[in-house]
Amino acid sequence: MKSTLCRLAKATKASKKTGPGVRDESVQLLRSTLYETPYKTTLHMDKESWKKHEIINRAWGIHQSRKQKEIKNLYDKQFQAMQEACEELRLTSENLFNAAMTGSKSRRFPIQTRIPTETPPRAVN
Amino acid sequence: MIGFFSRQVSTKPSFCAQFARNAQHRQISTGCSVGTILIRSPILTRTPSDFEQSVYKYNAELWNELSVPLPKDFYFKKGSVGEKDWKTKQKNLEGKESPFQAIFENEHKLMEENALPDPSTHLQPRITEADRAGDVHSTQRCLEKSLFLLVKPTKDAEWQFPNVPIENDEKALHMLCRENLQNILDEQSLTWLVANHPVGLIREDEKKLFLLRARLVQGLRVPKVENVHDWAWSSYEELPNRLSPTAWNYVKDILHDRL
Repeated sequence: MKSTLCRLAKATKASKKTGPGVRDESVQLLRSTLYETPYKTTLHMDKESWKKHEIINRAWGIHQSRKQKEIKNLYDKQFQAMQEACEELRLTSENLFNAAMTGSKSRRFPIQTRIPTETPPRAVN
Repeated sequence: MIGFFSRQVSTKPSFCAQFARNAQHRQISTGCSVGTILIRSPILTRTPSDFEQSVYKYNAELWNELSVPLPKDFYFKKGSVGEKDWKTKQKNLEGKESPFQAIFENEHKLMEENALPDPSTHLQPRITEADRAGDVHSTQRCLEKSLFLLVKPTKDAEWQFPNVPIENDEKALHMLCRENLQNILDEQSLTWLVANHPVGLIREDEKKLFLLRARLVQGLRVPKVENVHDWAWSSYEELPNRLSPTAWNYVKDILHDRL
């Protein structure tokens, strides 16, 4: 009984690491996670996959610029149409034009406006 | 002197036209009307095209390869239960495209079997019944696109934007539009005029139609349309099928598939 207890005591003492060595280890671990960042700065690709990467990026750039051009074109046309309509209104009737040009600068979307989601809502209010 | 004037007049074509029109002495009684472009904005996000999806996938793979691995020695002590748990979860992630797939796998299965513990989290399908039926009277069609209201006031009239004639210049345009919309739609459907001034103008044989822009705030609630013979919520692609060619010509640059 005494020998097994002694053996148990020795075993538990041996597994617990104590002393200044343990503290150094944990401090080193903390330091390495905080200050050292093991970045993989470059991904080594062979010539073929590098060419593919270049082509993909250029295609994406072209796609994005096309979309932006479409949007800009739409905005320009909308502004032009708005200007022509307002000019026509001004020439037709001064009173209506003045009434149309009112409007406060702090005008906002109504608070019940919803933004697009992935799936439609369950309840329809 | 004469040369100077002629140069000034000829270089500005709009000046010529305006000079001519000013001289016509415009009046409101000459067939002016004001209409509304009522827009039901898209309710769902756009599905990315095949090209976009493949680019997103490629970038995600690159990101995974370039990203810094988790400092597991910091978070998990060696041989602890937490570490074992984490290791099994990492193994589980290996075959999947994204972590979300692993997290929501079980829930998607339950959803398909209709066995969710909380039925209110069941996702609704993107294509509605109105889509399948092609019901043009409902705003629950084409949830990804924007819908525009077109109206047929009488049986023999053309499809047009809801409009009213302008009799005199006492009532402002936006007030006329609001009244018209209240007349057509039922009380509970909220419409919001984007601005008080017109956004476009359709000229059809001496008649002028000023268009104001408005939005239907609660898009999924189908409003009851009254006091008209027929109405249709049409998407941008269906507009030229209904509108007259002259009206479409004026309006096609202003509107878009997703406004």
